[in-house]
Amino acid sequence: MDTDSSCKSRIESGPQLFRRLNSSSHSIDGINPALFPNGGPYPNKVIEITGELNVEKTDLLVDFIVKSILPTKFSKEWKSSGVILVNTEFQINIFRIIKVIEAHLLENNVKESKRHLIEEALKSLIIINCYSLEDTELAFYSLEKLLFNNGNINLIIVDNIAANYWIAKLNKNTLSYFQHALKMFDLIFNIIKHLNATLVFVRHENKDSKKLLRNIDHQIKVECISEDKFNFQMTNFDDNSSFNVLARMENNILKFS
Amino acid sequence: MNQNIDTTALPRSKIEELKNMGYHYCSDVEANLEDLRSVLNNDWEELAKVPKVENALEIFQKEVLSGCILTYNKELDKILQNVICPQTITEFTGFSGSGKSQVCFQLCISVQLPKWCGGFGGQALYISTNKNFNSSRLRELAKNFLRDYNSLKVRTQKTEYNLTEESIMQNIHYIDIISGEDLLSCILLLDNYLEGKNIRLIVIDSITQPLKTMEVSARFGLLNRFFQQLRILSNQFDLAIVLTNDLTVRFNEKDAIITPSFGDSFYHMVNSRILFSKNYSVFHAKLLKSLNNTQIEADFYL
Amino acid sequence: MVFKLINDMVSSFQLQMDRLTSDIHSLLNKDLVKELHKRNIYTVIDLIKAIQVDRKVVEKISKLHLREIVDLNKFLLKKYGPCAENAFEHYQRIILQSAILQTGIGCLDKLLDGGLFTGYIYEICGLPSSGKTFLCLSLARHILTTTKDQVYYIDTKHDFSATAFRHMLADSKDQAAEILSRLLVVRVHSRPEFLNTLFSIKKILRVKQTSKLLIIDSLPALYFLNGNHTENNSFLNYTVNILNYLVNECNLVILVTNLITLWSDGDIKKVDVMKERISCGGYWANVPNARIKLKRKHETCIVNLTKAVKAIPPNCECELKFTSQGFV
Repeated sequence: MDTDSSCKSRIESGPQLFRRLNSSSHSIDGINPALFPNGGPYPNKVIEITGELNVEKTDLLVDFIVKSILPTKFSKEWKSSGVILVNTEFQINIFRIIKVIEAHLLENNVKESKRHLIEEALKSLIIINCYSLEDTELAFYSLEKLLFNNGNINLIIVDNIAANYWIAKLNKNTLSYFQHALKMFDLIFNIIKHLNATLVFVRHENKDSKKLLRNIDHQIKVECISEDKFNFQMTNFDDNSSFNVLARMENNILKFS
Repeated sequence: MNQNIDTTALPRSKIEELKNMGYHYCSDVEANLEDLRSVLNNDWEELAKVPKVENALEIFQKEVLSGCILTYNKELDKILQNVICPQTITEFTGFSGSGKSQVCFQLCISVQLPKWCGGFGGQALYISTNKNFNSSRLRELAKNFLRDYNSLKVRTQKTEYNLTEESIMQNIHYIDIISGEDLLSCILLLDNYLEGKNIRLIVIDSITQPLKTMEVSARFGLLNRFFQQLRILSNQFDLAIVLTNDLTVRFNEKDAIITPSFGDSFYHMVNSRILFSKNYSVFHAKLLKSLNNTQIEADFYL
Repeated sequence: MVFKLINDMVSSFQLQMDRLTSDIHSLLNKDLVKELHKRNIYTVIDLIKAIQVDRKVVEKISKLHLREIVDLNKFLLKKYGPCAENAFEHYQRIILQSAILQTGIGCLDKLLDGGLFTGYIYEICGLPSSGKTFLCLSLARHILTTTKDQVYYIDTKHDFSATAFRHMLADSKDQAAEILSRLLVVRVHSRPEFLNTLFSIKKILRVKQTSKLLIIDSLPALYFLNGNHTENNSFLNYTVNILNYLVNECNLVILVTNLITLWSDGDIKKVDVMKERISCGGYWANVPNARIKLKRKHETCIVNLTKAVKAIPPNCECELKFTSQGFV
């Protein structure tokens, strides 16, 4: 049931009610204290990861994924949470995820059976491969049902939101990259906005572009300082604060300072 | 995952018309060809055509049968083995006077040799842009060539396939071009010209000259269009193509490097490159790039 | 109106997502389809969008119950939408289906962490005449001589010489003909021909996996054909989509050769160092999962791995020797 626009009170749909009742303490709050020193990211919040086209943003995405799906009992930063990955770029592959999981298990001296843990972790990740613009749109439409069927999902990752821009532009020549990103973002935002999941999406950005999408809560701008060093410029839109976080890629783990 | 009609060669207006009617995929169009006849006429089969898949064995047999064009200059032919084949584009580069045009003349004659002798039994088209074409020199080469050919005929006792000086000269077609746009128009209209004739070799001497007057930004587009059309022609008529290219200077830090014109993307588009040079009266040719991936050089006399 | 739920099998194959016809679902009879057409609802995705945006309008047009519409929506999404797969099942499927294609060149296999992995797009780039085609043929030769698979070779500028390839098979004289017959070469001269070829390969491999390797030599020849930025990038976009589909759903390794050109910015007054630029633009640059850069040095060729499927090894270079049978 959609919200009747003439009625002031908020009417919840079935899925929204279900999600609200079920999303107890399984948010991904605390997953990255360096980037979110004041807590967070909370449910229903939106994080945009941006940066130039040639900058590697997938390391940060894999970090979010791995820390979400690993069990809470071994580390504060691990969230035992389900993740949906809408994959349009095909740069994140399963072997890489497994390698990073293994590196994290090693780092935290986890003694339990690695194989079992990896299996359980992978079961919490849902991958939707999108080979066309239609696939991406339909993937967005199917998110509601997926969230309903899998109550433990707290994170949705889209890599990247403006994929297939050039095909869209072929059919409408006046479309700019930003407009396309905006259209796709609005589409997914309106579908999942009250479903208590955190949305993380990637949008490539030109050097000079300062345009911002509305409704984002946090923006992380990725810069590559050297081969394994990154600078994340974090901007929070609720209090307009902005700060930089450095990170280094060490043994397949992104170490934040 | 379906093939979108954007990827076909339909004109943009037709694509938009089809999309407005809800047809986005090739499979949709194919399922409703009858209904769409008013929009598509009968073009669809042509557009949906998949190029022929050949296996390497079939191609090998074809290559063995067709062979390559040689100059019958023993030294030079050492590097020309399997280089100037049908459907390939060969580039001759070097300073003026290094022998490029002369070798081109020789190729125009050799292509006319009958098949039993290793030739293509075909005619040649010489497109000249730089006034290097010299019909008296060509005639001289033809005379010398005929001597050898006729003695070969006597030895092998073949009585057909008579070549005369006149027939050799007549089988070399000649077009004179000045500007880059003329060159491109010529190539675009060439399929009509080639119809009915048995032209198996096209020489363009040189392609640097007409493009010199063009703006740098226009050159790249023209060259690409040019290559595309040459490939289509060579595929349609099974031709070999030889281009001559002048040298130019490129700067890298403090060094000035002498390289063939048009840079790397041009080098990428040709199949073979031969660098000619001359030292006193000795000519030198170096095969820099070829389908066989060998790099050999040879000294020869003309 | 009585309807029956059509047994919707989740298949990992993308079915036709296209025009609405009455044989998609029992609810979509010819009259309803006509009514939808009148309101510019032609395709499956148009209908799903319409249901999401304003269910009431669809209720009115179709005279169906809310529940029937919800079910229809569910059915369409499941049948036509992309497949949502659990990562563990995905991993198990990959382990079963995917393969590592050894290159036959010792140091290159080590550099690539075992060889070429199916499911990934590899780019081979280098200056002109640096050995890209030769490397592709060396790899093809190894696959053809060590397996019974076919290899597809899409040739965009007639660089493939069967005679040269035959020379590389000098060792296996008796099987040469059989080996040659498994190398399938397609010569394309235009972008539509190229895409038509890729889609027809997809159709063939969907039926039976006869090949694990597809070589595209070279991409710039098609990219350079046009100067219009939008057309170029949308061509690449379509190409990338079908290539990603082929590697992931048809279990292929795709090798694409790309050109590096040397550019110098500025004019004679400001003489600069020539910079290397990889062709096909910024959009393509992020697409390959691994990038192998070749640099020719007389009798050898230096290979540099600048992007890898798993991780770039600490020593990312190795040297290959030209031999008559390919790289060694």
